[in-house]
Amino acid sequence: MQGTRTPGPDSASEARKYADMDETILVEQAKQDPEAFGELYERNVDRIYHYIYYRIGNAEDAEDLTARTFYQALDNIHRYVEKGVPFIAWLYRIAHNLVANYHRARGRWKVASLDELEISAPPAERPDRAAETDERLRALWSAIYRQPEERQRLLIMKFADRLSNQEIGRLMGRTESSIKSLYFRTLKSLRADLEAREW
Amino acid sequence: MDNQDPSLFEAQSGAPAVAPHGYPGGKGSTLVITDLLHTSRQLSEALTPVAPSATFRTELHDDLVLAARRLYARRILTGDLPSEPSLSLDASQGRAGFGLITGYLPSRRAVWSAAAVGLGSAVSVISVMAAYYWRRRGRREDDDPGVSAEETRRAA
Repeated sequence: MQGTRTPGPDSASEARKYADMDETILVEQAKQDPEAFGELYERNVDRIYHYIYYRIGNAEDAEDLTARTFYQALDNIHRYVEKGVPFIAWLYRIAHNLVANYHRARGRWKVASLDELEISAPPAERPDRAAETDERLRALWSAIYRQPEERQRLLIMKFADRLSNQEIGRLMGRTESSIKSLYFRTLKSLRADLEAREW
Repeated sequence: MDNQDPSLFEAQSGAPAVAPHGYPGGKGSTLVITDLLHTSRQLSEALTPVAPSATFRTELHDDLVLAARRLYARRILTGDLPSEPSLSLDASQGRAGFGLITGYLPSRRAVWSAAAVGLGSAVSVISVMAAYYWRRRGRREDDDPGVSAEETRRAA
């Protein structure tokens, strides 16, 4: 993404001619048409970014991995076969693999130390309270990262992506009731973890 | 929020309103639900949606569309993508661009070849003419060997 950029027809601000298109048709169109791929990007980029950001806790690396997720999707979209799940499930899988490689490359599967974590309290808070909130958030994040990977994904989809249990179920290949049950177990596990550390 | 109301837990967390059987706390345990509601609220605070920067978002969009144009044009040329008229303008532009390049390269080669042949011919012609000139000059001197400039001056 280096080099001088000249405004032109590539701009995201250009009228989105595919904005109302059904996703299945859009994906087929995107196999041949760059603008259609651009629309797929617009629809999914925020969710993919949330997912990556909360899995690695660093905005700069999250942007890098988000870009790589979409480049990989572009390279392989001609092989994509629709299987009755939303397109973003495929993007999540690419992002998941990239995040796994990222952690592997850094020599840690889970965040052992949260010192590098950029996630912090909202800046609007009073300094004394912000420090307290920061500490609380870090403890919670620490507990989240100690959860199995599947539970982390569930929490991110539920809270950061604001997906319903039904949507999460479709993305994770589970039933809605199974997601509810998994969420309940996740909450209990988090609670127990925090209590054990006197939080 | 009334933490004792199990229906709120259902609404907020999507989890069953009461702890299912088989879990510590048991069915109907409001104490467990209160704790979990608290954790759920904490999660809601911790996992707020974050957005990538607007610059990054726009730049990546533009880069992807550009990369897609190149990729699809290449796939059309290699036959991986059908080159039907229904394809986008970008794809046909890619084809046209490639056609222009492939059409242009042989022409250039032809021009260079012609120029080389021309140059070669010119050199050959000059060489032949030069050889002819020197041969004629040599023959002229051979034809009249006795009349030298010195003799002409002396005779005068």
